[in-house]
Amino acid sequence: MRKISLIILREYLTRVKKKSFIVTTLLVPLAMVIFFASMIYISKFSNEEQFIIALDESHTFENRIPDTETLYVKFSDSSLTYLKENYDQMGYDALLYIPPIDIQRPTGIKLYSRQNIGLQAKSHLEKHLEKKIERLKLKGAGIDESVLKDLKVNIDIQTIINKGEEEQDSNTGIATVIGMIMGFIIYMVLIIYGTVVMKGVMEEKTNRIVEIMMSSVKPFQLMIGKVIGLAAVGLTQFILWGILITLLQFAMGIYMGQEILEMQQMAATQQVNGQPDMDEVLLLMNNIQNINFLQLGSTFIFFFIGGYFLYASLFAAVGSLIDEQSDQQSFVFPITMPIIISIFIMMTISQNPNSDLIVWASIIPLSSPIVMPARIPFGVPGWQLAISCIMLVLGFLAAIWVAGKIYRTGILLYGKKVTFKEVGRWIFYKG
Amino acid sequence: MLSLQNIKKSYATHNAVNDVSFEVPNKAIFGLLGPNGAGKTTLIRIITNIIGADSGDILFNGTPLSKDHTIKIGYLPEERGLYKKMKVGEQLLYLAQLKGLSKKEAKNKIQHWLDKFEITTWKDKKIEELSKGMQQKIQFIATVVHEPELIILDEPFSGLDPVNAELIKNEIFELNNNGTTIIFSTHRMEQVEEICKRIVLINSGNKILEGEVKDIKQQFKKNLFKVVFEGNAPKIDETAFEVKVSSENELLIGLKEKSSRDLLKELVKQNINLISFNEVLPSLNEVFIEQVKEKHA
Repeated sequence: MRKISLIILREYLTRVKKKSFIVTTLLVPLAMVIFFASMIYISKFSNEEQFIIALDESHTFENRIPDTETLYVKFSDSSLTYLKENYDQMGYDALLYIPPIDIQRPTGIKLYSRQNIGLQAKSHLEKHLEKKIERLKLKGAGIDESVLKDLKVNIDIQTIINKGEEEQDSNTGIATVIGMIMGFIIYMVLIIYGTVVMKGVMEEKTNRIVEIMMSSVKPFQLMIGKVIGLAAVGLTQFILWGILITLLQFAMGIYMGQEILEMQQMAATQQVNGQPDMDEVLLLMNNIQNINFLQLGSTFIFFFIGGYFLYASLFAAVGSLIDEQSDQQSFVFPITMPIIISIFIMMTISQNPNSDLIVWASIIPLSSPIVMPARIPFGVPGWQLAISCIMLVLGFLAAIWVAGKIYRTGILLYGKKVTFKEVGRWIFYKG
Repeated sequence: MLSLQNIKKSYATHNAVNDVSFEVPNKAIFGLLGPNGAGKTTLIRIITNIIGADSGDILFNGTPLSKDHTIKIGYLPEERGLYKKMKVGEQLLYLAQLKGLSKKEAKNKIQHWLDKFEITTWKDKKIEELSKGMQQKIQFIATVVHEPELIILDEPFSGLDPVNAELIKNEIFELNNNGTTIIFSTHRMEQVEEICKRIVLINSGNKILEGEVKDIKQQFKKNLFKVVFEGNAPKIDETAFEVKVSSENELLIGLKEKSSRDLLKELVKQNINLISFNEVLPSLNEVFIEQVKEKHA
């Protein structure tokens, strides 16, 4: 154990002390905060107040375009030529000209401005003009507006998971998003840290330090020490990112609190399309509360760690087979393949979270680390979860065993191109 | 000290070591010799517990070799490297701790060796900043720092300049004087003659020879004598002796029917002005080449 802990410590310290580690750990949260800050500034910039003067020849639309917080429309009776020449001196940003209009073919509406007034303002104007024309058309067809309102139906299927007496609202939208995020995080970690483990092993092999190491420690100790050491590096980085992002968000809150608040309000009003449908918002809130974060979090951590150990040890085995960069592909491919297939399977979960494919993929240990956490928010029968967990533990023990067998032979082999057949033989090699 | 009994190891396509037995006496400097690909490295890896033998026994001081013995063995492989990004001090500390030293012990011993080689200033340098020869000194320290009872050196002088080779050689002798047993693996025969008392010669996985260097030379001598003289050349009876090489003041004579004593008597009888009369023993190199060729023939 002492030797393994020495190896873990070395792997951890040499990597954590690296400039590249420190730089990425600091830069990623900073980049995120800069991104958010610039988003806020951009939206603030685009939220400058705009004043528009409108000339409605037929007086049909007068006072039918409501003001918003940033857009004010005033109707005028002056002539078009006068307004065209003077609107900016009058203090307006743009002139909206609505000619006498044929509601069957409403064309010829123009907006004059010195500079682009932006999409948001344009769509606001269009929306309200359209609305008015629609109403006129309805009236022309003899349909009362209240009849139409009555006709309008808003359907949002409320999906309910019923287990015994308990009934729970589930919202596929939120479940999909949360599941996808978790699957993607595990996918990224498997690929990125798997590659780091593989490169580390290759470095030891090409450096020829490995023969010196092997005379002091068992191959398995060296391999597992590296895998655990790098897991600790990854964990450190995630924790530091979490802390830094929280701190920076807090700092941003102090400096830009007002802007953030405004943006959130704006986003909320936009989301519900000007007519806040309180039912929908409440349902959403309720659904978030209904998600079992404890179960979700613990499954995520379990599959995260299990998947990491399974794949990292396989990547270590592959690293031990590779002498030069050139013959890397043929051995890396068989391990990256199941990871990539898993992510594709995961992306189809929302279509039918209980299809045969998804159920099997969430049980087989090569794909379960990615598929199962993504499936959890849709509700997974307890027995399936239990089998999947047991399979993953067995799977990662098997992977470590196989990897250890390959590693201890591969790591001491130089200048020889290894075939899959030989690797297969090493696994059952004794001694 | 170390006893190998009927060691066998085969890989998928060939037998790397085929029923090899030999004894390494306590406190000896023992030569493990053989051409490239003879199976030396495989044998060393078996002794250092890096790989296991298919069959056979190894006794270390009378007890079967086990993982517990790794801290009693120091190994300098032929293909050696270090972690390039690590500092000299960190690297040595890490390797010494893996050999079972406590941190404090390791630090003291590392300091002792750095002082001895006068390289204390390198402590905070990264390995990649050092020349190959400098790295080799660090590797040597890593091999001996935990004061092993048995040290295995695989081609320790390759890549070293004469000054550093001499330095390492003297360290080897000093360690041996202090009671450390040393296995020295090489195919450079002149170094073996200079350093080793006892050798084993391996070829294609088989043991060809084992014994004291001086006995092996006696065993393979060809009864050749070098006669150096001044003045008139002696007349040699071609029925009893054979002149192999003849030059102005030198003859190389092989014995046929008579002894060296008879040859000397004959020279004295002829009143030759003799400067020297020596038996010519084969060099280990000659024995080596001859034996390896013979087995291949």
